[in-house]
Amino acid sequence: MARRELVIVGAVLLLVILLAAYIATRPGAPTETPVTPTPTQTPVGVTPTPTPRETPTATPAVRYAEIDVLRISQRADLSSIDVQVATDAPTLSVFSHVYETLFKIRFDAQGRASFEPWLVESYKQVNDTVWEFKLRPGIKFHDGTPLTSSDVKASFERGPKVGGLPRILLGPVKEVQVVDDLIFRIVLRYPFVPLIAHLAHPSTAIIPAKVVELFPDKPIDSTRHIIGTGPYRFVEFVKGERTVLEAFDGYWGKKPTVKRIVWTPVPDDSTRVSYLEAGTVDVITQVPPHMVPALKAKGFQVIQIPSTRVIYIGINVERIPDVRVRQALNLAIDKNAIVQRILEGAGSVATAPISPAVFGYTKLDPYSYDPARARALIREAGWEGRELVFITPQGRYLRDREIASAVQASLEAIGLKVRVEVMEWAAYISRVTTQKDFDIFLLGWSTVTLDADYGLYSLFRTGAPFNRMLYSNPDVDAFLDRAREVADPTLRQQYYVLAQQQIWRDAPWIFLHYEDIIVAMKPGIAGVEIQPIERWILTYAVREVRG
Amino acid sequence: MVPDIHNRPNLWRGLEPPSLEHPMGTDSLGRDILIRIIFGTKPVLLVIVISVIVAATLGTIIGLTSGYFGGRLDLILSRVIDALMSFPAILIALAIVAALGPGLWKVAIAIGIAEASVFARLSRGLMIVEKEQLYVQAGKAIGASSTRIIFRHILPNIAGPIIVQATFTAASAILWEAALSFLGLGAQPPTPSWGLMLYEAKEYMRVAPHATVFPGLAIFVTVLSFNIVGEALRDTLDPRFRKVMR
Amino acid sequence: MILSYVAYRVLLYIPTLLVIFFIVFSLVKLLPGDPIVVMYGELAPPPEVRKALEEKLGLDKPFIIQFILYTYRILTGDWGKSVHTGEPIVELIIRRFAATLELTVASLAIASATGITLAYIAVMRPNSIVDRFIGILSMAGYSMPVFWWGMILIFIFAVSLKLLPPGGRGGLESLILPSLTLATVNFGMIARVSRAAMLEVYSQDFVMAARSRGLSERRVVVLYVMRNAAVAIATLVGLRFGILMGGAVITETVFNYPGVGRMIVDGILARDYPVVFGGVVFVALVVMTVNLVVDLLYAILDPRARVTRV
Repeated sequence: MARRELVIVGAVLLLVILLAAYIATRPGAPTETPVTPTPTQTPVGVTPTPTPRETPTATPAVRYAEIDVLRISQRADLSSIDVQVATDAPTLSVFSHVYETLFKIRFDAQGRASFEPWLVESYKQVNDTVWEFKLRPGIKFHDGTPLTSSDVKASFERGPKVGGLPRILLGPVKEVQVVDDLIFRIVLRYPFVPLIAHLAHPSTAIIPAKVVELFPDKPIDSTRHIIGTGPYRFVEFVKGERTVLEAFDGYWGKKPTVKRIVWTPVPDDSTRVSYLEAGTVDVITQVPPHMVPALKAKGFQVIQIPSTRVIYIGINVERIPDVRVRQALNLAIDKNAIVQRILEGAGSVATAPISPAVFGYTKLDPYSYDPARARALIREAGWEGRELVFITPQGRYLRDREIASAVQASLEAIGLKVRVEVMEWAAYISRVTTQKDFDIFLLGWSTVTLDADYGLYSLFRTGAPFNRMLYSNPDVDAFLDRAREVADPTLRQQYYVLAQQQIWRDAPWIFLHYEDIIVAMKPGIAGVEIQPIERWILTYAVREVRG
Repeated sequence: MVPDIHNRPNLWRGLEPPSLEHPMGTDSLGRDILIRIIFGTKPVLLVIVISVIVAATLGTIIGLTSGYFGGRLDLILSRVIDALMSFPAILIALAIVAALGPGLWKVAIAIGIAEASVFARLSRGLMIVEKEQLYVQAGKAIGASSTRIIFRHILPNIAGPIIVQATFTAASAILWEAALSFLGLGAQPPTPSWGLMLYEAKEYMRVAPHATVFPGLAIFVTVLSFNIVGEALRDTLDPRFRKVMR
Repeated sequence: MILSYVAYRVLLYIPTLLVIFFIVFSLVKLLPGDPIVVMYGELAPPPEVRKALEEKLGLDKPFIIQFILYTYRILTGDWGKSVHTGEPIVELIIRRFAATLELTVASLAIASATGITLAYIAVMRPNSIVDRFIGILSMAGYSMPVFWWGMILIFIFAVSLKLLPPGGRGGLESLILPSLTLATVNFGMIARVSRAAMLEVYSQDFVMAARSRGLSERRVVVLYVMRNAAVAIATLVGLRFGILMGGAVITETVFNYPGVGRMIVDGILARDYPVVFGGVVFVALVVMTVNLVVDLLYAILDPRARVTRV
């Protein structure tokens, strides 16, 4: 090449480098001052008591008015138009406005959950396996038809046929007997006290018997059939663009204060935040933690509360049968660093396999960060230099990729070799359920019923459907079995404490952390209810009116 | 066991801007970016070599055969190749990668398969012109086998443009790998692949733009160099082959 | 004669489509997991339970049967509905394709305008510094990773300066950044080809003849050189249309732009088979038609080429 060419090339490259340098050294958005590392042995991450979910109510001299249109943006789009098929929290959040359940979850000021009768007016337990319920009269569906026991029966019969969640939640239900239009009985296969909690989950929402007749065993095929009893009617769904709900005039309960809600899916986190900043939307969810300080600085409201989702690394107990190795894995990870640095404080170190908001929770001491002891245990067990296969999804949980990278480095630091396989979700979950050629896997679990049975039984009982660790401990089985049958809450709590203590010792998981929920909204909005089960209720949101 | 030098996370020093200690700053796990970029040349070379070999071998064999024998075989093959070439290759590569599973080697092979059609078309075109030459007719007349004629006589004569194309394919391959990593289907952590670094830094763009700028710059400079070299090579071979190449 | 050529090409659509469809079908079906598993998230049922669910979706039939069924359905116009949302595929594709078309046309317009202008400038002073510089600039364009450039543009214009929206679709302003990004990667090739085409014509006899007749330099250029360049560019654009749509996939990802490329990628990730198959067949049809049109144009505009095309 002629010398001239080289000069030109050099000039171009220089220009680009200068441009890059300019960008790279621009001050980024303000971040929190870095926390100085404290090599600590004491367990950190005392789970904060869940804070009240409502945004501050009116102070005097500020009035609140109704909202015409509330625009909210989530990461994901509706995963299904059928409420009995959808399993993910964002979709169920939307459907919580359109459909209703027999019972409703209420949170007290300490964040503890309780279940109040909702569509049901009263109920009683007839015997061990039979419960009787009476519906509230005068409730109408969006198409004007009244809610009756037949609708309940139809919904509960269809649910398990079309959807995974209803099948699990209504698993204990043998049949629904219609006594009259408002009274019905549920007959269980076995005594199952957590039934009430299950009947508060949107997957057990009541849909019209008419719709069930049209689609008895497959998902509904058009949004025309989205008919519920909730405060909002379903208006439209444009995939990838928006979902629109409108207040239902004939709603039996307290009238909503928001006339219209528009949900927009925006998969990219930064873009979603820009939408809020630009005023394109009023509320955003799943705010990435590093953008929180900047948003607060600009005057946006940011609400952060612990969720019921626990993130863990499951250990295939058959491939790693030595409990010392499993405990070593727990000791090797600096969970506090993960929470503080990777999650940027958007979480708390796990103190039990279930989160503090769940009934049955007990606080245990997290495994400390002790790589020296971990190394010793590995050597003792003869596992030095052995290879582990670590599979992980990406983009599913907050910073899952980075957590996996950090865990890999930590485990290699105690003398193991770790081969990471990052997969996209469909391939990943398929592998987790069907193949067993991996040692450890990253996963999350949200105890959406807020009852320990859902969080412990399904994951730790021998042979349970989601016990992918292949864990089996007959003592734990006994505790979990009894806790389902016994009606007395105190007794149930005791069984759960025993179960959790044993599980903690057996370490079939690397217990990591609970994720936080971060929601941001523009100033002047109040009355948005954010529940730790990753659900946001916008029905009674209001806006500030000055003067 | 000491962790590799490019994979030493220090969670408390994440996303630091460039400084004397870390001339290109640190990534989200606190790893030095400059070291990772330097070590990233290895995956880049791996991808280039494998994908170019796969693409050139596969494509050239198909193209040469198709061009030499002509007739119906040629018709079918060239139609198929035309079809594949016009289809957005990224979708094919994506499906291949997703089906084969994660891993740098598999990505490289997928890229090679996707780029093979370029070589097929090129070598076919060259072959069509070349086979009319006198020495080929002579070879046929004395009864030399087709394989011998193709590989021992024709191929060396048309090797030039194929090598030039290989350079351009190398450039493309780097971009491919980066793109696939960006979609989350490429190299596995903790490989310091530049595309993967971009993918990992993407969500921190606002607070730590340096983590995206430097890996992208590395890709850009490398690809540009390959393209410049390719052009220079092409110019040296110029007058004879300018018409046939695209 | 043209009619018979067109008929011949259209007839070839079917086997070509079959090949493409078979490849994509095989690859996608090879992917581990299926729509059921995706729908259930962490609650993905164990294999025994999945069998019953798969039967309902027709996923348990042997590979060949499924392929024949799908092919038949697509050929007869029954493109089905999305497994996840129930939306009819045809509507979905039309909507998403309109978006991609907007993006593609806008970027092509920018890229062509820029490329041809640059080529013209370069041709006016062949082998000068300007010429070389434009050459390197063109190369720089297609040496850049599309998404990196996109992210930088977003950072400068949407985050720092807050002049333009960072993504999504709606109105002219959300089209600017994505089409600029896509155009950057494509203008280089257009500039190079235009330059080569212009140079080739420039030195030909009839140009000199026109000059000697006293036509001004400018008229010469416009009349003959540009028209010849147009042929080369049209061919290039046609050939690159497929590549353009491929590049659009990544741009659509970076800018959260609801185009057809992104739709197919999301469909693959969610194992929403009807979306993927419908999308792929549609895109293939479009690309093949564009190629055919370009080939026809080429034959019409450039008499030399008519005889040799196969």
